[in-house]
Amino acid sequence: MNLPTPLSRRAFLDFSATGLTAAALACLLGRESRAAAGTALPAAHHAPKAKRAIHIFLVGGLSQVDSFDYKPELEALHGKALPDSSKVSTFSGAVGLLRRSDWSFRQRGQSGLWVSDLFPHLATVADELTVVRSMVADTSNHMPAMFQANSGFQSNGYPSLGSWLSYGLGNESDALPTFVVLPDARSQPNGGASNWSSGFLPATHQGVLFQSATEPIRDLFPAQPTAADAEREGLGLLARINQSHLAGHPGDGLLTARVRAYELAARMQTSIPEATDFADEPAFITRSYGLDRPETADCGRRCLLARRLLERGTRFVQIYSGGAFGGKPRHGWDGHEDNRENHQREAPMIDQPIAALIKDLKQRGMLEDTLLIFTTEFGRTPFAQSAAGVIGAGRDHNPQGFSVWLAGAGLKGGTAFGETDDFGLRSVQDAVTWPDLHATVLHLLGLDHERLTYYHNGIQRRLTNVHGHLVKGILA
Amino acid sequence: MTTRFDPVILPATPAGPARRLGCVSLAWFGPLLCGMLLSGIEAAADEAIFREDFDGFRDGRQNAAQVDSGLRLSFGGSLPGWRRTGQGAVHVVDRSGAGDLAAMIWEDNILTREDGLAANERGRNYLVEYDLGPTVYATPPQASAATDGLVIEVLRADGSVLAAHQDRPGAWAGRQEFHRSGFDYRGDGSGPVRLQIRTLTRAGRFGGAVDNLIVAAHSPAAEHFNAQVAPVLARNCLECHHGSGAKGKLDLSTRDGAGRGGKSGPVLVPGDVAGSELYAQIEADEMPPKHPLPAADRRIIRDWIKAGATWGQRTLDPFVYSTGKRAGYDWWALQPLRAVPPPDPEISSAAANEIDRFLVAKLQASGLRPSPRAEPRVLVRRLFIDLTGLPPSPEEVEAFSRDPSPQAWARLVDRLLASTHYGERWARHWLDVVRFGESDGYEYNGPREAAWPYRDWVIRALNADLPYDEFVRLQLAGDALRPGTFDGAAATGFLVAGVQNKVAGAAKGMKETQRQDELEDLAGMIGQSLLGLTINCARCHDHKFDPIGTEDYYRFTALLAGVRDGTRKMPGDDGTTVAVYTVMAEKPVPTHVLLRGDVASPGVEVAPGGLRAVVGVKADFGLGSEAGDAARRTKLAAWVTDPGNGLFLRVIVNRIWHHHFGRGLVETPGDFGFNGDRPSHPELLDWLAGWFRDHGQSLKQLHRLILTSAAYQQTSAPTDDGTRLDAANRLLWRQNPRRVEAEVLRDSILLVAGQLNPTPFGPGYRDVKIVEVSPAFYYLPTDPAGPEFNRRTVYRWCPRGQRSALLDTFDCPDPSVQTPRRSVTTTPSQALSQWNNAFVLRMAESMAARIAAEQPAAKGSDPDPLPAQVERAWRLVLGRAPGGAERSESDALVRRHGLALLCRVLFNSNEFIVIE
Repeated sequence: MNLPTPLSRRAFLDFSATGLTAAALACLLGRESRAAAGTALPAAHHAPKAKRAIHIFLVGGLSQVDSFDYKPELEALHGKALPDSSKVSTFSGAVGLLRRSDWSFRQRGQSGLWVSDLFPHLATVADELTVVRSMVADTSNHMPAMFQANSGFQSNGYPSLGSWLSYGLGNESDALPTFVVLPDARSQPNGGASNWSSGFLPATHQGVLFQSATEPIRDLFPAQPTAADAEREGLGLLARINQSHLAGHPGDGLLTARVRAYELAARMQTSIPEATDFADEPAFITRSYGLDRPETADCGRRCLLARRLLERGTRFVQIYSGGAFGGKPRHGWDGHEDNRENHQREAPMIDQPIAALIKDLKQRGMLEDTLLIFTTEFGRTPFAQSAAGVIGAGRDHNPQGFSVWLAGAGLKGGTAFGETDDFGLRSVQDAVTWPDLHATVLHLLGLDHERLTYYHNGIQRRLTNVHGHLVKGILA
Repeated sequence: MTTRFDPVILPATPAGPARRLGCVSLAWFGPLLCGMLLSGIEAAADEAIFREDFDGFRDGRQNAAQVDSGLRLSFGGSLPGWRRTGQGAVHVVDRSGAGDLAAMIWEDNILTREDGLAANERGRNYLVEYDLGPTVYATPPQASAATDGLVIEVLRADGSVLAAHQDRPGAWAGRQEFHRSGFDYRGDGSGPVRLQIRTLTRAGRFGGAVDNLIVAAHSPAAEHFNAQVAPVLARNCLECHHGSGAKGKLDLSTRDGAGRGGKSGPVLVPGDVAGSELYAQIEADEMPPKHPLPAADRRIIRDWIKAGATWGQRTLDPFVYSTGKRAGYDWWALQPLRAVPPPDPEISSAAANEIDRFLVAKLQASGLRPSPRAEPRVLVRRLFIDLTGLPPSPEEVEAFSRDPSPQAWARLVDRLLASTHYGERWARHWLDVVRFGESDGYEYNGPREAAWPYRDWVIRALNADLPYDEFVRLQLAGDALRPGTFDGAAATGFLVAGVQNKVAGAAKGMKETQRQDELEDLAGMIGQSLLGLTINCARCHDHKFDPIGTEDYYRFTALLAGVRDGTRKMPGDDGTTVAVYTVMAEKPVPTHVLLRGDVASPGVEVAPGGLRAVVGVKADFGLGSEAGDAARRTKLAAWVTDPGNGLFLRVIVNRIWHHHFGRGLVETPGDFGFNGDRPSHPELLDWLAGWFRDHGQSLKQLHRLILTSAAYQQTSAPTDDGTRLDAANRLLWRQNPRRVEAEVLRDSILLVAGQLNPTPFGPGYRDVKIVEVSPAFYYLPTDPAGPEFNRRTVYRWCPRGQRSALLDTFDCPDPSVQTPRRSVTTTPSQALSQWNNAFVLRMAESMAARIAAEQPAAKGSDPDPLPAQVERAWRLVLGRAPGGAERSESDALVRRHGLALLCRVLFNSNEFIVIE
């Protein structure tokens, strides 16, 4: 058997020392299903640009014309009717008059990339951003759009990007989960765990939700306090019972893997609290992430945690900005009623922390082989969500053209790819679909989206289904 | 068969005077049959056995009211040689204005030939051809519509249908246009046949006009094409060169298309191999691309062209033959069951039954032997977990181990099959397959408070050993078959068990797309659960791997077009009413093929029907677009469960096998198609399916048969030979060791801790907190303690997108997706959960208290209760006493930290969760 490369020599020696069989190793790394599917893959299909990634997901729909897609024409057209509204895809169906951005746009950094005043901190790292201004989604309905952004499919039950990465690359760390999800403190996004589901991939590849600092993952410690020596002696007896049982079943991969799993579990009990404890972070770092201010503390804490997890071997961290739809005020970017008020409330919570994360990764030399992905499930309409002939305050969902950005991973920063029309409504040049973006993300992480497959119910499934083209225009 | 071919378009003028073109001698039918000679390819048929031009109509009256079409219509009279049944009169239309009449098939009248035709030689192919045109009523309500159609049947002497063909002439478009249509059939040697014509949609409709009907036998040259050439073309060419989207515009699926050639001109010159581009490309290894044609196939094509390139069957269906890339109608799983006698190898085991004869024969052929019978303690544990999902008590282990009777095993099997726990255990397997969940999923994910009656119905049905076909019929159409009953409504919960997006925007098209998504999900679930077919893959294009076309897909979804979900009040047992989440049938809207699955691109309308892929069961249900929901689903249920549907039987037999051996004879229980696994023991699979069918489709009898085989009872220990020759154990030289499922783990812990609350049925216990952020719902895991929560896990209320730490780490799936086969993963999180989870700790305490309360008798005069308590703990959890070191170390641990810690250790032991 070819040993998967991410396990590294260190890990291999470590495993060999305990006499772990290849089968048991496979069990532990969640690879047994792949072997069973007859599609044993090397860990990476080609040399990766990035070894790890952070996905920041703005729930609800960030307005592209108010953030990264500068449309001077919209200024002039403010208050005019959209010329042809026959094929507009909205949610409410209400098509009001065109509405200019509520924020001024400026060219930033060396590159002159346009970023609006909605994100003054991100503007300071504009030279690191590769903006895609021509994203398109297939639906203007939140949940199917979020599922599509996460899994490529609009329905429940398909593996998310992070799960595919976990399946494709395995874990780099023995002691930390491969795929961690950090939800907004206000609420979880709708769909909950379906967003980071492993779908039909083995459950071990699902995102692990980190909740609070005291016990970030469930069952990390006994539900009731127990004496340390009781723990130690209990586990000791368990190991001996399992060892003698194993002696009667030599070479059994499942039994061996379970023995090893208890050893790794003990390591996690140390490594997870260590990763989530910021005591060793200097004050200037925690301050840069905004941990000292209530407005930015939640996102700042999660951005910092993401960096610490990546440093320790986690592959993929997903950070949500925004939670459940509905409610008043809304938890997220869904500016139906008053987009200006909504975005002005949401943006300051994440702006400084994300900018700090980029700077921090960069100063540590990690940005080179870390991919940052900043997306939303769809954009917002450049016209108001109001009766015809009215410039209302809200903006509706717009899947036909919106902006996302990537950073790190050797990408050329300070650039923008693709274009929308003069209104910022529809992608008119180099439209990028979710499968395209997913294919590109996998590519940057060393995986070929057409070869990363898993058999389920009649089909060798892919993250990109039967679609997906690399967005070559953004690959350096 | 429905029409899949491009009809031959005739000149607008009616048939002219007889022209002899030399290929056949069919008088005035000549141009029809030989028309293709003009395009180069000969259609060869022997002289017509039967011909009818309908010009002999007599005694009719002219219909003055319908002159707006400009055509002369008559009705009321009779057609010599044809018997008319039904109330409606015979109608004819004068095609030419000069007495060239065509018969119009009206409402309920059925035209049947009185004489039998000698057109049924066994194995011989026959051609039926006719001119088909729309009926000429131009005004409502009779004005012809695209859905109108007729059925031409070839009947045996006893009235049964040898062949049938549905045809739709298309709507009246202001002028009369006939085209040549027809079909082929194969004789079965059962004697003379009669023709019959009737409408497809009876009430108040015309089916179409028919003229110049002939029946002819295929000539020897045509038969040669059918037998030799057609398979080569179908397997190697039609993947690309088929239908309207054919590559290079070359359609090799019809005689017309083959004759016409492609973008760059004709490809076939009859008699001239060198001049035929088709052969030139084959010869140059250019076609088929990357897969040069084998020499034998080349020869077939070459000889065929040389001999004149005579065509046979009107249309080659690319789905007919399996190829290296896809399955056809000849795919193994789609065939009717074969009657296979068990082989007769030498078998030493006394316990062996027919199953073992199949298995041992194959093992011996590979130089392997089955393993010996496992020891009683292992066997009893294996059986208890398999049938009830709970471990045996120490007393039960003891009793079985000491029973010397050869009948002891069968008795135990019967006793466990009769236990209520049997239904609870096996319902869980079924609920996995139908992805039963108790919330809507998607954005709102609203709770379903009344979904449990379906879960209960499944448990009860399994415990009552409802025959499997009835079990399925009721799930597909219980509300129609048992109207007004609680059971009928509960069973139909099957159809609404999946996700439902309750958020649909106001924007155009979104609701329709969402509806199509629902139907895809439903068709996919039904196909995979009952037939092992991924029907849903044919929504946007023909199935890439199995013989299911988009038209099949939409015909199938039309069967479900009336299915909507909702909650109904049904009469309960005790006179009260109970809310049941089930089907709220509505009037089906017409179903159209959607091009590329796009709701904005509707294609032809289709009638509800089954899949043509399932050989041996008629896919045509005779339903029109006016058929109601109940009729559609009742027919669907009858089709799925037809005893001639071998696939249906194979799939369930394999599922049962899968759970008894940890792996199916087909390893992909939800996919018997091209991408699925091939059976390890095809003969055994067919024999088992036949046995099951012949034993009343009793699942319990099937369990008994499998469980009493020697194969089931053998040890799971590896052997050197086995590991060397068949490491994957596909030949079953040993039983497969298996890790228990999440539910079995939790239920077993509850049982041995003395805390299992056996209360069956009713609303589930809830270990979640429901948080409503209007209008959406969240389900946060909680850890409630108390007897009402200590019920079997199958009674856990299971909303979607909510994960339970302990169950989750043991691969309990989220019910958003079908799980025909669970994954088995081993992770550090699993270890953490099993070791630290509050439930596990609480149960360890309960078990310690239970043992203390039982005061197990100390050995001899030892006043210390501790050793007896330790032994009791081991026996309860693992069904055995601890060995020497195990005993002393357990004693020491308990002395220092208490009995609960030992219980916790044992709950975590491999022996507890891996079944030998």
